[in-house]
Amino acid sequence: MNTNLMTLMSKKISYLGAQSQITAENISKADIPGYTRKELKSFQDVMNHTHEKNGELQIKKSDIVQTKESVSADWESFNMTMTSMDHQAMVNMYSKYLGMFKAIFGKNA
Amino acid sequence: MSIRNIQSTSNFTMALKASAAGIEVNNRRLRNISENLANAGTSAATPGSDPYARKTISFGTKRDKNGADIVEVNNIGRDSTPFPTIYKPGDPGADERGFVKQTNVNPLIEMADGREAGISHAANISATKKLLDMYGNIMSLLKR
Repeated sequence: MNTNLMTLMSKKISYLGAQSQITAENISKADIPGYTRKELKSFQDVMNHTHEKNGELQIKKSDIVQTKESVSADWESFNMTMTSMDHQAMVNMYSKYLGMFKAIFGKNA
Repeated sequence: MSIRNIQSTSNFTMALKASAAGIEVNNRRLRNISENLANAGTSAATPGSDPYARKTISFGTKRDKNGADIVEVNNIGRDSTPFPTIYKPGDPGADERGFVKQTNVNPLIEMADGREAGISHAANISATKKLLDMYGNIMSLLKR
């Protein structure tokens, strides 16, 4: 039984949650003069540098990069849509995978 | 899954707070714009008094108790641009030379500002909808 994929999907879901938070902050602060956008390092970078605690993905402040670009509401909305789509895909995949386990072990597994 | 996603859920909560703060400040900005537009074209009521001065708004950030950096209204001030005067001797607000001070509200600027506030407001609403969808997806796992 390979549960690594489920762990990985769970971490990706956590990562996408953090990414959505940063994008939401960027959108809400778009009108502050001099505010520059923040972005999260790629999932691969976060996975490479993170120190897991109880198998949970730890996103540190160093994983958030302060860029020099000003915020564009259009671009951030696009980012939010992409994050949402990725998130939905991950949750659906997780759900299907869970369904496979349940088909094998029964509903009480 | 549920334990691992506590952090994720907390991220959603903080993201929703950030978006809600964005909506709130844009509402306040739109209120300012409405007040400015409503007072456009007014003049001084009595000789020597000042007419309505355009309201301005500035934003800043604050850190809430959960650690989320959210936007807030920093200051609501008054535009210090000099009031334009027009020659209108019969007006109750005219001075001894017949000039009346007009408000410094420019409806064109207010309309442009209003459009910008509307776009920011819509972007925050859209982000909130997306976040709720994502949150709903996570919650749907519990139904299985």
